[in-house]
Formats: sequence, structure tokens, C-alpha cells
Amino acid sequence: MYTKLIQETKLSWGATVLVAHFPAYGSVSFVGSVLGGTRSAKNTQIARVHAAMLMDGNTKRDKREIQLFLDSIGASLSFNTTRNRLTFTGRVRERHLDQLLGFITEALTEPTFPEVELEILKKRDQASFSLAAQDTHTQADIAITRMMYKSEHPNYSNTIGESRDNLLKLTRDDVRTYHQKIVGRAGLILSLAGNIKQPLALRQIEKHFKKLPLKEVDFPSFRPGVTHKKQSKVLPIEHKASIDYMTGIATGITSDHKDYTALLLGLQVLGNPGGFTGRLMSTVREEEGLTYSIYAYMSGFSKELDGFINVWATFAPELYTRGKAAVLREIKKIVTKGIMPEEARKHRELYEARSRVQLANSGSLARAAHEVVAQGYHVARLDEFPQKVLRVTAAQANAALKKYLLPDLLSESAAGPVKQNATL
Amino acid sequence: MKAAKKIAPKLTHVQTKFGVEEYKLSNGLRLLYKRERSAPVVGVCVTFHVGSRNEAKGHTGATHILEHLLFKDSKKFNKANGKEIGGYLDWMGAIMNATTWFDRTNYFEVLPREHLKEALELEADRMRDSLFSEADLASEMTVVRNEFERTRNSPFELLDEEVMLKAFSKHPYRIPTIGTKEDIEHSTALKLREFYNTFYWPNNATLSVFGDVPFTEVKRLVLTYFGPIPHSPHKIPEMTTVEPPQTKPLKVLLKKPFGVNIVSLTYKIPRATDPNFPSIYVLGVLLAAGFSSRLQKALVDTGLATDLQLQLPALRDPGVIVFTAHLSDNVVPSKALSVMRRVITELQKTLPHKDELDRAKERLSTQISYERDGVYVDIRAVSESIAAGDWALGYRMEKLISAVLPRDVLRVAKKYLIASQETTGILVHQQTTEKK
Repeated sequence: MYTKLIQETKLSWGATVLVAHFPAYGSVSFVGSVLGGTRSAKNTQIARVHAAMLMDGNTKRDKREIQLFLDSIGASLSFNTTRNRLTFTGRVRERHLDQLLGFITEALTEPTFPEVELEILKKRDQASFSLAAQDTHTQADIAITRMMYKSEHPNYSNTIGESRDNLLKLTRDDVRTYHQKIVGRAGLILSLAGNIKQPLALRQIEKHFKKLPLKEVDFPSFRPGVTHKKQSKVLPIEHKASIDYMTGIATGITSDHKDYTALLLGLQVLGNPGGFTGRLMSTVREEEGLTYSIYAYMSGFSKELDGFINVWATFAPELYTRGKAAVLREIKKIVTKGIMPEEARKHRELYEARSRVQLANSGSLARAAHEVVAQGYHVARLDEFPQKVLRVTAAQANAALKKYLLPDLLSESAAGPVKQNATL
Repeated sequence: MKAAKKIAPKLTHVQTKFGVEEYKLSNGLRLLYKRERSAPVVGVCVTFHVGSRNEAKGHTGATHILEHLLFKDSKKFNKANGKEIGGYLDWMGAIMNATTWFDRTNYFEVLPREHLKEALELEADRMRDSLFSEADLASEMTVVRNEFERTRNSPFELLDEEVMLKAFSKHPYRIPTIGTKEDIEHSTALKLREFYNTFYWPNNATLSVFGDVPFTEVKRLVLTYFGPIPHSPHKIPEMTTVEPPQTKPLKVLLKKPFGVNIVSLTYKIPRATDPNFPSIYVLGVLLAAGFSSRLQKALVDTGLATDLQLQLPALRDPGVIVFTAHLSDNVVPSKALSVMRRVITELQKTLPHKDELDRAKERLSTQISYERDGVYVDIRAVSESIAAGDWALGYRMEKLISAVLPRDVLRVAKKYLIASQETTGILVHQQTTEKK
């Protein structure tokens, strides 16, 4: 349905442009990206710092001039990294879009990475790492991916300490070299939604982005990371009031695999993120009152990346043992007894209907269109995938749950006021 | 004795402003309707004009617990008939939630437009016919406690709560919406029922319906489901506590092993509907929002702070403006606070330049346009304006802001950002000395 709104154009010089004309009170939301990201350099902090410094000055404007310019047009803009991409996300009034796109290319072509700004950034980031080290969700999340994957796998996470060390040893030359070697227009995708028409968007993009240099971007190869070895990790943060608990398992399959959609439906029945329809929410929270948040989801998947199943919940310390047992009980139950055809039907329809609701604003539409194309799919997947989910049967979902959600091999992590020697 | 003759409910048009039609139902319910054709969805939000501001001493957190209990069974939507509230609309693809804040409680959903009937039927039913029991409360209590504890995990939230407790001596804004642990644990279904019967009436609520549905359909459904609900048999109690004037600077110091130092400066300001509020809004942005704000330049760009936050909630009663900075490692709070106060003092000395003001206004104007992008954000932004006492406030704000002059910003900076109205918040990282 939304695909009809999105006009996709592949420009001769390599860019993919997605434009959705959508009433948005005079503003345009956009998400763009080029190849790069944390996998494109050995030190994963380089790509992140590089992105963070793109607004710290270039050959045309210093940092202060950039700040004044962006505020003068009321724009929001941030550069970030994913595993494979350098992204830029923002919103602006339609009348200022041309200026903002011009600035983005300026930032991508002529950044100066001032030494003084790098030192300030390092100082700020160290404090952010200190805060993250005390964050129960962050710590549980890092721990679970480290148990499921080998260190060369893109889904493996560095510890806070490793990230801090990588940050400290990074130099301005590292960032400049990275920029010169990697950052250009390779794989450029620009997704815009809002008060913008396609011809105007194409003209502006052609004018600004065509001049970006084309560079080769290589990513290190990796092997699918299914270890299937039960592991556990406890991270005591004793002064916190609540525990973050995760349990998960690597699947070894990508989003293109024939079982992906069936597994997605099965996990949605188990713990549909957002709302009250998942079994975990209706039993562990609604019936037993053991938690506030509890969900099951698939994470770290793409067309080339084998992802994992994760179940996440928060517990009060005194309810932790009971809560964790309830989670594992529900997992075992869904694997051994399966889901019912009526349950599968309701969840299929829910998935399809919610996909319509979730995209009902310009920011979500621009983001979703960018995401599917960045993962290597055609934008039509936005409509086709929910239709594919509608065709999954309960039997297929049950077979996928049995095959990938292996209760005896689940890894577990817990961070918060939980004892180091607690049984997991 | 003759049975009283039932009078058919009636919807009366009050006014149309900013593309929003306002109606009044004969039982006192206000209806706001907006045709929004951007997507095939509809948003429904019931804003009850009751929040933690209305809680009596010893019963803090009641509004929030009640919000949770309104997801339990109601007369027409319950486990027995397979229509559980916490899932009924979800199955139709709805994004559904409820939130509690100082001045209001709202229940909202955005869902495919063909399901408007189900959304209105459900919201009408739980307005007066929620069946929550002591057993529901018992099972929900641990859920609420976990929510309470999760907020205690956040150093920012912890400092914010302690600062409000200090800044207000009498007014209920001093207590966090979630309540105190003691009060939460001593809640009873009986007390909550009393609270429900006092405040949950159509004449104490606003129903907003925005989306791609014609008014004739909305009118028919509102009359069908909300029309039969009676007006409250009593006058809705007013909260009358007035915060005594603050006369001196106040301070909060917390020492916690959170791995971070945080400082904040909080100042008392007038209510959101006060004529000075738009100028304070611009003042806040000029100081602490966007890329080029003065505090961003002085704190974040210099590496003293990792980030900066501006809080300027639009409240029904006189409230606060808060500037918060997360400090970089080894930066002592006194240094950051001294920089913050210097920046504020400088602003109070000279008229801000027109360019600087224009930037702040442009940023705010763009921000306001974002709040209209899709019914999900639009309907929630209107709920905040309803809570502040004027549903059109958000829509009017852009015009009000465009009229703000440099002298207005200078005037409000001198009037409100002063020592006697200030509460300083400091959270210092302190290593634990926990025994093994």
C-alpha cells in the first residue's frame, strides 16, 4: 500500500533515490547512506568517530558556522554508523532542503577533522562509556551477543572497556585515512518523505551528490556464527534497582532464508514487541505480575547477516528467579506444544495491519524505505513482506521454532542487582 | 411512578480552529475532530483532566496505578468473553498505550481506519465500567513496582525527581507521577475505585479523533458509545493547592555510584497558558536547544559536558524550566555550574541579536511542524495542550513564538532565571563501598 506512494529511481551514476510525497506540514524527513560503517575498519571506533566529526568543520565552514547554519534553517541532522553504512538522518522545511543537501555533501567531501575537536570528542565519549558501563540494558545486551558469536562476526559486540581502549588509541590520522579510503558515493541511497515532489528531489540530489567521489569499499568476510553452546554471564551492578535479563540463541540463517518468515511469526506469538498480544506479556506480566517489560524478537539479520533470537525482560531483584523461570517455561512450552492455527492467524493479521499503522508518518516511511533498500531488497518489500507473513501456517512456524529456538542451548545474561554467583 | 424519559444525546458544535472541530456532547464530553487524509489510519485519544496533580497525600501514584488497571477487564471487554482490553485493539494492528502525567491521563491508539468503531466502543466502556478488583491490583502491583525500579536505574530520572521534591514545597508537582514506593505499596482497590468514581466521567474528559474518517461516521459512533454515559453526579473536585513563592536558592546533592556526574539548574516559571510562556520557550531554545545554543557552545563544545537537555513542560499550574548537563569525566560540578550561571547572567545583560532569535524561532517552528506529522504525534501533542488548559495552545504556539521580540526574551530571562527561583541539582559519582 505504501509502496504506491514511493517513487524509486536508480540514477546513472549509482544513487538510488526514494521519494514519497506525503503531507507533513511543510517538512521533509530523510534518511541517506553510503557504504562504510563499523565493519569497514579494523578499529570499530574509527567509523563512529568519523561520523561524529563530520559536523566539526570542513574546508568551507568551521564548526561554529555549521551550527549557526543548521539552526538558521531549523534543521535536524545527524551522521551515524551501522555495521555497513555511514548514515545521515534529518528533517527540514521543504524550502531549506536544497541548502541542507548541499551541506551534507560538503560534510562528506571536505571534512577537516580538527585535532582539538577530536580531543574534546574523546573526552565526552569517555564519560558516555562510563555511563554505559552502569547501564543494565547495555551490559546485558553486549554480554549476550558475545556469547552467541565469534569475535569476527558482525553481530559480536565489544565490551565497554574494549570500546574505550579503541577510542583512546585512535588518532586524527586514522580518521583522515579512513575518510580518504572509504567515504564516497558507493552504494548511495537517499530516501525522502514529506512535502517534496520527486522531480525537485532528483534535481537537488543530482546537483549535490553526483560530485562525491566513487571509492571501493570492502568488508571483511565472516562465517555464520552458530556456536550452539549454552553459556551464561552475570554482570553485578549492585546499586541499581532493576535487573535486565536476556536469553537468546544464534540462528545461523539470514533474512533471505526460507525459514525466516515462519520463525518471525513464531517469535511474534511468543513475545510480540510492543503491546499485549505476545504470550510472554499475557502470562509473565499480565497473569503473574512478574515484570513490566518482556518481549521476544529477532535481531542482527540482513540479506547477508545471520541473526539471532533474543528474549528480554526486566525484573525486580526479589522476583528475578521466578521471572526467569517463567520465561524459560514459556519458551519450552511454545517449542514443545507449538502454536495453534487460530493463534497463528491472529498474529499474521496483526503483523500486516500494524505494518500499515507504523508507516503513517513521513519519518517512519523514509526510514523504512531506506532500510529495505540498504538491506539489498527492492522497496516493494515494504508491502510484499507483510503479505508473505500472511501466508505462513502454524505448522511452518512450529517447525521453525523447533529448529532454531533450542531451550537447552540458550545463552543467558543478567545485569543489575544480581549476585555474581547467581545461578543462570 | 413513571420512568424518567430518556433524552437522546446531542453533539453541539462549539468552534472550528486550526482545522480542528470542537464539539460538546450533552453529558459534558468534549470532542475534537480533525480530518487527516495522509494515511488510512485513525487516532483516538481520551484525555482525562486528572493527573498526579490531583492526588491526595498518602495516595501518590494512584492515577498511574489506575491507568494500569484500566487495561484489566471492563463490562464489555474482558477475559470471559474473549475481548481482553490488553490485546483487543492490538489484534487489529493498533499501536496502543496510555500515559500518566502531572495534569492528565491519556489513553490512545492509532489503528487502521476501519476499526474506529472498536476503539471508541472500548474507550467508552472503560470510562465508567472498568471492573478492576483487588486481585487485579495485586498482580499489577509488582508490574508497577518494576516500572518504578526501572526509573530508579536512571541517574537522570533520579536527580530530576529529587530536584522537583526540593523545588516545590507544597504543590503536588513535587511528587513524581509514579508516586512514592510507600504509597504505591499501600494502594487498595477500594481507594482506587473511589478515585475512579471521582474523576473518570465524560464531563472531565476530552475525546480526540483525528484521521481519515468522515465526521458523519465519527458523530454516529460517538453518540452511540459515549452518548449514553451519564454526566458525573457530583462536581469534579478542583485541586486548590498553591505553591508558596520560593524566596531563596535551593540545592540537592546526591552521591551515587552511577559512573557519571550530572548537574541541573531549575527555575520556576509561569503556567503554559501565561502570556510570557512563548518568550520563555524561545529563551529555553536560545540557551539549550539546537546546534548553536549558548549552553551547547559553553559546555558541550568545550568538552565539559557530554550532552545537554532542556526540559520545559507545558503545565497547567506554574512549573519549571530545567537545564541539565551530563559532565565529562573529571569535570567537577562546581565548574560546570559556574559556566552555566555565567552564560545565563550574560544573557540577562544584553538584548539577544535578531539573528540568534530568528534561529531559535526557526527551530521551534520546524519542531512544531514535526508535531503534526502523522496522527500518532498530532493527537498526543493535542493531549498535552488539553492538559495545560487550552487544547489549541500547540496550534497557536507557532504564531505566538513568531511575535516574540528580543526585548521579550531579555525581560523573561531577568524575571525568571534568578537566584531566588533557582534549584541546583548535583549528582556526583561515588564509588560503592559495598561489603563482599
